[in-house]
Amino acid sequence: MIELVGVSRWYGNVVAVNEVSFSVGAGVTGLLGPNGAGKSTILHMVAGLLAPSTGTVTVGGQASFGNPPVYRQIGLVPEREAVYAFLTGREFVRAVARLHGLTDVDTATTSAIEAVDMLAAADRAIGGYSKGMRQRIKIAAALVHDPAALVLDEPFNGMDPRQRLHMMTMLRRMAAEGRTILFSSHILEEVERLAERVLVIVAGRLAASGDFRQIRRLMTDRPHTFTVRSSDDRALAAALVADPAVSGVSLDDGLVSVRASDYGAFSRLVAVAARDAGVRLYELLPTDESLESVFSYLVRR
Amino acid sequence: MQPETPAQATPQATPAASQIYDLGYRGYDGPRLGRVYATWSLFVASLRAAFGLGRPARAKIAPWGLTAVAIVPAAVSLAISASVGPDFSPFSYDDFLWQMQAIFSLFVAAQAPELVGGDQRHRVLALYFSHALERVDYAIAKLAAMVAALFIVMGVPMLVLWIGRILGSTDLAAAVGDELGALPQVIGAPLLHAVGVGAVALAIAAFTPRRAYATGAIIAVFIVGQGIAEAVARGTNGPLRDFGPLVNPFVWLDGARDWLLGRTVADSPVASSDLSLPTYGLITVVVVAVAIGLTLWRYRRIAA
Amino acid sequence: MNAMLTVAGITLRQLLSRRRTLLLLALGAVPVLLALAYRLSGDANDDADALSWTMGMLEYLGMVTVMPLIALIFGTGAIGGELEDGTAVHLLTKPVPRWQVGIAKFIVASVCAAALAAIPIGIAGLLGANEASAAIGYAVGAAIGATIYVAIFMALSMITSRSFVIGLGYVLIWEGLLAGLFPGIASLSVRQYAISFAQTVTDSLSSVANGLEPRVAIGAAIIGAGVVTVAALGIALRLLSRLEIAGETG
Repeated sequence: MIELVGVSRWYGNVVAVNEVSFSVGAGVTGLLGPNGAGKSTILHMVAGLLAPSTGTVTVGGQASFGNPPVYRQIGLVPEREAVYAFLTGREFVRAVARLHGLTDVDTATTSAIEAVDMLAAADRAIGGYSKGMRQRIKIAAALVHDPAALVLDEPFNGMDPRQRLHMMTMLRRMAAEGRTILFSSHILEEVERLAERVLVIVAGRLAASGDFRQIRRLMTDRPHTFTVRSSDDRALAAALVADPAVSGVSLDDGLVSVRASDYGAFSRLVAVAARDAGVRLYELLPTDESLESVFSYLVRR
Repeated sequence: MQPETPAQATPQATPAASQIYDLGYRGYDGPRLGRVYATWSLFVASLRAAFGLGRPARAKIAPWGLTAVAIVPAAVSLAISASVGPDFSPFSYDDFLWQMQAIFSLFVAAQAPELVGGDQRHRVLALYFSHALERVDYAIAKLAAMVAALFIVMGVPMLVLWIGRILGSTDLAAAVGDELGALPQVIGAPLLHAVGVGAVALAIAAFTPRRAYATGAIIAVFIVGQGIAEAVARGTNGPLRDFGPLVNPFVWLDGARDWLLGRTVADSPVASSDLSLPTYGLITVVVVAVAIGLTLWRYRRIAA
Repeated sequence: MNAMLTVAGITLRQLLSRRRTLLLLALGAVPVLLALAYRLSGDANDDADALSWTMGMLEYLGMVTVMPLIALIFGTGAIGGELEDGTAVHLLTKPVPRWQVGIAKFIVASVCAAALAAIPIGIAGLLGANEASAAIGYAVGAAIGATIYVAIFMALSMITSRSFVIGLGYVLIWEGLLAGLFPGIASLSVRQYAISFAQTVTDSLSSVANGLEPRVAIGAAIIGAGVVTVAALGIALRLLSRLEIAGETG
């Protein structure tokens, strides 16, 4: 349904998206990555609001940018809160329905508002809505024309757990109906819970894709780096390198840097090895636990 | 306060005992610079902000652009003086500020909200008032900065005009002597106008944190006021002609200038009105006092 | 067509919010009140004087101050506000050609600006002079001037977010100060086109013949007005069709 081939996007010297290719079909796909990774840029390209600098972005086979008819197939729920505050929820969804040129505006409006459970508040001005209500009315507007693809940019921002649960249930139901749902988040738990498939974006590059559990396993099965401060660095290094769990040691200024391929085995090993060598441990730090370092490892593979 | 022994390197937290750890913070007992210095610092910082210094380039466009636009006609006048002679220049000392009032109005409409709107918008006034700076000092520093900024924008072109007249004449020594007599005009008129325009504009801007409203209100007073002044300048008599133009601050400022420094401007409503010059002086004093008073009152009352 | 009407409806409701409408009525009230004061003061000696004063007032207060300000408010608000706060996304992600969106907004904004400028000016003209020629002439000039300004300011608001101040600068500096210093600039000034229309219509309708010579001849004004409006609108529509909206965070 949604396909990116060799897509890059730069602003002057800054590359926001770097040679990303993927295709997304029916079901829920999550775009995961830290802030500034390029998720919004990708989603805005999919939604036809940005043109790729190189590569092609197609939705249902048609180019997304500069092609107004493609919007019949996409519903976008943007991250920014802004909606017309002076319209009521119903008026806003109706206006969107008319802009889509729907023949039966009223039925479509009502069913969209029902789908997001906003019937009760539909005739109040949007200016008085809470953040969660505004999000839901934006989703109603994105659904009113029954699009095949729904694109949501950080949809769970600022939602409380109950609202989030409700929204996730709704999205799963829509995916079961055969729609393509693509959403972005920087919170692992959200993506884990909702997405069937995950695309990991780091620094503009596609770092991993596929089933979330498998990616998680890949992430923990990588070589880890630790730094150790001890009473006798050389003796400790000699003791550690003898063990198969350790893939390398190096002695730096007052520190031992250890690379271990088996996280669990190493953590059991280090205390025992130190005690047997008569070395006192002062400090043990894993050095590459940040999300960025994890992902950059994935990228380099 | 006597120095205490530094605490243990790593505080040991035992489950039973609670402890407050000495992390090495110290109070300050030394000499402090006091209220006057704080006020002066705020004045300098605000003056810099009025010209966009210490801000990204975007903030510099409006003030520097407008200052340049104010100087260009003076420079043109200088060039004409130099080539053809001082009597052919399109501006004299007296009418320069009157002719260019739109530029100064734009400057103050763009920059007054910069000076006082930001602190209200971002709610940092509490930070200012919790130190040596009193509310009164804050208001005075801001007023002084606005006046100083305007004095620069108005005074530099006048200075250029003055230099032009000196350089343009054939007998340099005599010219310097002549023009020295004009110095009160060259310095006094911009100072007077800076005080009047600055006080009024800052008072308006101080009442709203939203930049659009502040700019709009200042524009209403100055620009629409200028339109009204022009409209009633001809063909009217009586109270309409005398009092109508007073909406525009530049009118009563021009009258005050005329009263203090002599030399009427033919174009200005002051020339055609029946009001005596001291009346304009009085109006100026009253309005400026009211504007300053309103500003002080605003900052005394504002919730911080 | 339906889509354009929808866009027009939203734009109309957005532009005529309570606060903005009050402000514009207050602006329009200024020439009316002034003309009223003039009439009551009994300063008008005869028809020719009254007409001359009215024309002067309508020019300095109406064409130079009030009309451009009204056009500025509508022109920068037509799409500028939505671009600033992000609601533009909702209009631009629809299967509606963007030029239609732009044209619908332009029509709404220019009609509102023209009406809210021309009507008070017309009323003020009726109050000030003893005949309707100035009222009609300057109302026509104001309407045309407002339309041209709205096109220019719409294009400006697509280029920069500080379009209000820059537009104001254009009106006051280019058309005001510089046109005063360098008379050649008058032929590139929307203000002078509008005044040319106003004076020509007034002259043709007036019984108190004034024999006015506008600074820009009516022929040049017609051409200038047409060219500037079409060019500005063209720029605005082109920028709109190529507009990109980037996301907020990464």
